[in-house]
Amino acid sequence: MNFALKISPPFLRKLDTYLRINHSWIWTTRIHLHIYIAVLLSVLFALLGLAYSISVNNVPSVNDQNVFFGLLFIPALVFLIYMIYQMALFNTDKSAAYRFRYQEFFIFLIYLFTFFLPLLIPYPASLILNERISNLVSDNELQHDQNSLNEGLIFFPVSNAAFYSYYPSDSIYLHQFRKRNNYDDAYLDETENTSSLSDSTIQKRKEWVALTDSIYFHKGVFANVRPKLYYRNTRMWSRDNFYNYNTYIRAELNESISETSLKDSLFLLYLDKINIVRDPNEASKHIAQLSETISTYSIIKGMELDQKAILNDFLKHNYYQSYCNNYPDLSTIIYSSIDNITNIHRAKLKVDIGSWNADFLFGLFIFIFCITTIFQIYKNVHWKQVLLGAAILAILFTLVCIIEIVFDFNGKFVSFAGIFLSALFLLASIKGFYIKEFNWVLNQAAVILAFCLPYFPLIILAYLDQHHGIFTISYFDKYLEPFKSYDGTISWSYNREYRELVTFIWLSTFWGGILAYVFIGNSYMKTLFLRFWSLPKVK
Amino acid sequence: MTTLIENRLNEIQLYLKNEDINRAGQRLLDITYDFDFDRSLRDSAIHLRKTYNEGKQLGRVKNDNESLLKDYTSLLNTVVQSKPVLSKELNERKILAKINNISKQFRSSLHNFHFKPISLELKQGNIIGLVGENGNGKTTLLRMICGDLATDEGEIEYYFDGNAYTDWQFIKKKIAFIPQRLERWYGNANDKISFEAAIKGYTKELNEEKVNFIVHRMGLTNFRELTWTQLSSGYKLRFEIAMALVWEPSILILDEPLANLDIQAQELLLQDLRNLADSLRNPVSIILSSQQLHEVETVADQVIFLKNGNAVFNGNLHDFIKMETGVTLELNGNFTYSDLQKLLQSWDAIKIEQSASCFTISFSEKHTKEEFLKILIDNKFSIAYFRNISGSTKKLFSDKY
Repeated sequence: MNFALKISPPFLRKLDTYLRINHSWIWTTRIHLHIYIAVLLSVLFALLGLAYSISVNNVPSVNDQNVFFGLLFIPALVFLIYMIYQMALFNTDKSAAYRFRYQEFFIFLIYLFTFFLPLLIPYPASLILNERISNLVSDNELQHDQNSLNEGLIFFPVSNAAFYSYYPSDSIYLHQFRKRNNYDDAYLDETENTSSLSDSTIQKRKEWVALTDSIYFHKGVFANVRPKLYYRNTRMWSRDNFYNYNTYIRAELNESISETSLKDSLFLLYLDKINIVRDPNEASKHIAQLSETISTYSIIKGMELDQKAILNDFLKHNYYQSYCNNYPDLSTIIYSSIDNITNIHRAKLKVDIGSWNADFLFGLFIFIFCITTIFQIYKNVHWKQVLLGAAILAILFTLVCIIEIVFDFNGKFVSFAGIFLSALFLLASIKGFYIKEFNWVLNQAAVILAFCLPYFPLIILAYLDQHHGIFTISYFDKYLEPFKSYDGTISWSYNREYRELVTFIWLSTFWGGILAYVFIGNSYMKTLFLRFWSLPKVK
Repeated sequence: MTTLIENRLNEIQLYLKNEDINRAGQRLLDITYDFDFDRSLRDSAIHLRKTYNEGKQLGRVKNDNESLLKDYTSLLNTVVQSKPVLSKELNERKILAKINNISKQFRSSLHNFHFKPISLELKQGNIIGLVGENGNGKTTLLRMICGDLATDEGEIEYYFDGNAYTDWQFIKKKIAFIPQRLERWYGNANDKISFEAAIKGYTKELNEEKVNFIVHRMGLTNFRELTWTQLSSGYKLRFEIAMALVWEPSILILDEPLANLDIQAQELLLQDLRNLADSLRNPVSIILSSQQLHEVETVADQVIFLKNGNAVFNGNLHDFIKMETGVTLELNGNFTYSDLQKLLQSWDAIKIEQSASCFTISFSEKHTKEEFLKILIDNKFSIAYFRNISGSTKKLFSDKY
């Protein structure tokens, strides 16, 4: 008995018998057994997801979760091999079986689904682990702890390295200062006649100049003590990562970080608290909150922070020989807390589940579609013919590329060869309907055609683009827009709408080819292969 | 038609009288399928056959046999009382394929082989035995008939239901070819038979009925749960035949089916083939190749003897006997080649050949086999083995032909 049937419940055995007797074409795909094994594996993996050791101070990182997910893929791949073996065992068409019209269409879809199965198996484990992580703390609690981080981290200068890029720019500080004190009109042109200005405006301008002088030339109120600024344009490791905890999360979420978004963020708050308001009560409150938060999330437990020392350092602008810098484990404690909170935050947002981007999914679909096509071809011909077809295709492709590179045809030869060879194989396949004896050349041409047929519309479009410039015909002139260069000359180029349209045409052609193959091409190839298979051989 | 039914019933009665439960069970099962009987009658026949087969594995005791005999007798009486009616008009057996002067040539640098033109007809219910030495074209002919090998010249016309067919996809749905080297299958034997029936359109209850019939009919009840690796070569072949017969092909082609069978199994298989060809419901046309000439000749309606790709004989055995006038004998005993030569030196057209197991002696029709035996006995030679093959195509193996 089949291994899967041995471990299956009675209902599945009954289903197996039912399908074998009544719908043998489905039975040969073994889809019922594969779904059953996939469910079993998923449950098993889900249990592993439950058994994974986690706690608030030891939350698996993204890498840890990826490794876990990757390990689960190994048995999933073994399962894939087992599936292919099982699907290859039985063949109805090579046995001159009775079949209904468009049977191959449904079989193709079943194969497509089957090859997706192993990729889905590790997901329950990943989902469960993610769910467990997200439930480690409540949403409100996490929000509170994140606020503690946001508001308190600025008081913890954990390393001297944080000051290497100190004062990368004062402009933001100045800008903020100006805005806060209604100095918006202080940027008046110095050559302007000041007689028309009000006294208050002139006063503000004087103050502004004094302020900028004090910062840039170390005069006046900032002669000895400079404001604590954290903004940097680069995202190198430094203290700005701390105050930028929110932006750190955003970066992980692939959200854009711009100065504009920063202005709207906690940045302004920090700027106020640290550089402008500098309220000791406020500071001690945030330090206390953060101390509590990191004692919960830190990988090192039981550490008592000297909150007074941290507050004193802040009040005295002591950034270099601070309590924090003299306490070596503090960075580990803080970073591990940040990591744990971040990982819980990510788990709540489910950013690591189904976070495959469109390109990756597209590539994955193409990969599985190719495997399905190859397997479908294998089911119709001898396996040696599949291998020979793949080898011939590889040789042809290499030759075409070599000629293209050597003679520098600027891509035109590739598109020409693509359409020429595809048309040749298509014509050869038509001849296959008129022969009375098996012809291995025509059969091989049909195998190669089956490889290429889904991409035939794409090949035609590439040919039209390369040789006839289909995307530069007069119809597209309405998308041309003037473009003024630095030297003042005007040139015309296609606008964004045009580029979107062209991309849409390429994608539509591609998907059209895929769908046409599934609905029409596949049936055509099946009819052809069945004919070849039934013909008497010469030897 | 009544005679045909009566003959069948008499045949079964005779088997039961001789306590041959195996044959009686097989033929009773056949009759329930050939004629339109009530479903329960078929089920009873299958059930009894199954009981018999299972009993074989368990080592049936005499009491069980007696009980089975009683049950079979009772079932036969029920069959007789129900007055069986033919399921369809039994017309003259139709021609399924006409093979007209087909030939084939293989050329290579080391060996050339020319299969010379041959013509024959495949009829419903006919068995054609294909005999000849190795490498003389038996498999080539079988492959051409089943559409696996293209002919160089000549043509094969397939009719099946009276219409001529040229579409190989359709033709191959009607022909079962069992090659000498069997292709491995997966799963257990019963499931595989069921699958083969299903893909040919036998689904639902009919599938189960067909599978049960063929499995129990061919005595495979006790082996149906076994897999390919668990079966002996002989049973692999028997299951292969069951897989082919379950979907009722019009033409059954077997390449050397007897090669892996013991003597008893060979006879059983040939008898089964004969019965299947004689079936009223599906009188299959069978063509088989074999080296077991005598066994094949006993069941075949037509024999083709191939030598170097040439059909040196193509017809029925009666024609062969009429055609061949000389005497050919096989024998063995306590005599040597020179003893025989001395004894027969004065006889006309004498030819003595020696093989590992026996001597093959041919002489003209002027002498008789009785004369020859008398000479041996007079010279006090004892005979261990003797067989008259004058009417058998086996004599065609001789270099004389």
